[in-house]
Amino acid sequence: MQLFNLKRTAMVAMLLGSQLLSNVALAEDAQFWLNDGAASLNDSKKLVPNARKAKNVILFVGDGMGISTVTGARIFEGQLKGVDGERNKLSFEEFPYVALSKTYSTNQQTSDSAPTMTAIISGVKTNDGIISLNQSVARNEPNKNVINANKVTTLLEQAEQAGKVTGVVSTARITHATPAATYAHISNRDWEANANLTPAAVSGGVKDIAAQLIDNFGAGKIGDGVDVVFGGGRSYFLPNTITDIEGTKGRRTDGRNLPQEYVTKFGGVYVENKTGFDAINPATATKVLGLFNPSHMEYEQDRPNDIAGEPSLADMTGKAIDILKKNQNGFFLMVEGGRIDHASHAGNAYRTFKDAVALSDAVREAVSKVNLNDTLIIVTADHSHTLTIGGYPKRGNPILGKVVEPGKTTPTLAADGKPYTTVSFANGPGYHTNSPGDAVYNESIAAGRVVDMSGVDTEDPDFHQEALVPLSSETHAGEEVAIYAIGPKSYLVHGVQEQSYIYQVMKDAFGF
Amino acid sequence: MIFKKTAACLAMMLMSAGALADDVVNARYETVQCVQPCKPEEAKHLQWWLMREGNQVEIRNLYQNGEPAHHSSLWQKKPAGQFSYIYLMHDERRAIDYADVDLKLLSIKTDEQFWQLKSQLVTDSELGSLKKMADTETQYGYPVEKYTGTLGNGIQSEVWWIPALKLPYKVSYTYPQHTVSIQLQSLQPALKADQPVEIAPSTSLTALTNYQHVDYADLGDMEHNPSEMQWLAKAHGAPGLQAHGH
Repeated sequence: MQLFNLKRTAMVAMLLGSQLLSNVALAEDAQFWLNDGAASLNDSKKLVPNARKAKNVILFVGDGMGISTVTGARIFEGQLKGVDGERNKLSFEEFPYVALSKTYSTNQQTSDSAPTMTAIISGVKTNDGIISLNQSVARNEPNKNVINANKVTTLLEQAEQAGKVTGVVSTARITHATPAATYAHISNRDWEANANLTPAAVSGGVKDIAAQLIDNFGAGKIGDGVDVVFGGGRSYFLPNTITDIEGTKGRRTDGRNLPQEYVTKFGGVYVENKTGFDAINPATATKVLGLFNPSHMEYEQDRPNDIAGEPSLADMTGKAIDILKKNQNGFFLMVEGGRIDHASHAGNAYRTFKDAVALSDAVREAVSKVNLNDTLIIVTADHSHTLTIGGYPKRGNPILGKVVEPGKTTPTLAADGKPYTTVSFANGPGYHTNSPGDAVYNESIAAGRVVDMSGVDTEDPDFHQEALVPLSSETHAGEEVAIYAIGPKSYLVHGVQEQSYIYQVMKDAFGF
Repeated sequence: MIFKKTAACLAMMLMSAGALADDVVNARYETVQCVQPCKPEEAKHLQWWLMREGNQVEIRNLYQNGEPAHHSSLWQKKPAGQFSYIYLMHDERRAIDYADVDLKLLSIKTDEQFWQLKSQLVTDSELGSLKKMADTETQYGYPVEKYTGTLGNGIQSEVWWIPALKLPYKVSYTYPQHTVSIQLQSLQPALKADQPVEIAPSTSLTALTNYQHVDYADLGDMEHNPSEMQWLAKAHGAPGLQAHGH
């Protein structure tokens, strides 16, 4: 089957990065834009929907990766590479099909990761804090019978039952809401280890999320176990009698050593650091559990400083695919850039963008390893954040810099006579000043206009952008997020959809 | 959770003073802040313990302005120059864990200077910038040296320093509008035989393990959860959770 031009363009662009774009940017004129638009139109007319079933489905979730974050990360990546940031494209922005996803949950206008990922992976919207249960279940429901009666089936579970192999990869804890929703069912997203369960939940027989990764699968249960699990959260899997390689004690109080149980029950291997990860031979590995941090993995910016060494999201994605694609029945893989969200909560745009770029790199890695004729790849976010790109900065202005307007060389001043950054947050901890000493008085959250930033390096990785509304932690945002798709049935990703629609596309692609 | 360190203190008393700086040291202080001109009835008081052992120091608040305070700050210096911090809420038996990058994102610069500030209250460089006076005295059986001068932005400072323990006996800072004094009130190990042994309320490893731990990075997703908000609202002094200004 002849590849259509857009797909070839997408492949070339992703593999070469944006080198082509830098040459184009130097020759912009009216004809350039006309030619550029015509070329895109020409490519679009050649789009031929791939209506075949998918052998494999890969779902990428950028936690908190709203559209403004995508825009900012695109420009950030381009500027880091020394090319035209505005003309740059992240890897998934080359995908031919795009839609918008409405992320509200059944009881929230602005939602959290638990019900949003539940919607994406099961097709059912639910309430805040709920993991893969329907909306009739109250948060903190302690009765396992109520929980079991109201489970919603996830695509990962369906894939396991259909004889496919499965994988869950995240830079967050594997027990955190987004990855947890693929394999667990629980009424409180915070019940990640048994020590987190309320006494009522313990009495009610509820199993914590980490335990469910082991106990929900295998003989008499679902499939034969999640085949590849890479991420953080080691301490939630280990008993408090064990100190791990980074000197952190486990959190479990039930004595269970879940990595050991994974190995015993599913016949897999367990690794804890980059050395162990690198030693995995994907040609022979079948079941692998890798937990690379006691809690969340490092931000991409800080990954080189990790004590034990961590693989990147792209590393984990590539190895997961290499392991999974050996299966003749195909695979389902969920990959999450889990800390884009955390960086935004902290009001730190640098790490927000850098982790989004890391997700883009992981997508690029996936595209290079699969056949797009039989593999559906979807990239989306669970919800947005309040990061905003404002002012009228000139073309090429550093995305993390102060606003400098076209034709100017010095920052534009606000009504208070001080410069302001292009990127800011609508709420959150705001701009931080250093706390001198350790007096009885506590430092305040610095919302609004705090200091004159004329002498401040706002492009520093540790800089916190200004925020309007003072909050300890910046919040999620309620507007739509994007869905990008390529491969079989990807043409079904169109229009403005409920977030739960994403599951329908993946399910249809698999032919379930 | 209060664990007796009496046996440890007695053992320490047998050790040489020069080695004590790296071993278990428990010191109870009172910090007094007063706006000038100082009216004693308007002064702010804070009683707290500094409990130091190896690469860990716990600062536990006891009373703040006459009201019981039940939280601790537990700082740990890790290999490769990293730090971790745990904010402990003893009544709620909860802990908020901060990774090194969380501290960085809260503009809490963690380096050797910072560690000294936490573990000995006055850094070596600050002490070195002050003038050592001829005055000496003995407190809790330890020689005490006096230093005076200015620190930071011209803050008049006086430090009565116990070199054997690398801790101050007393510190006083005079700011333009207010004064701050930090006074040692109880010390273990004390070299004076008649010094009463006070139980230091350090948080044991067992207790720490049994507290409900939450990572600071996760609080952003918790702050709209009513059940979490109840105990979060009591986390006074936890970095990144303050909402008031001054």
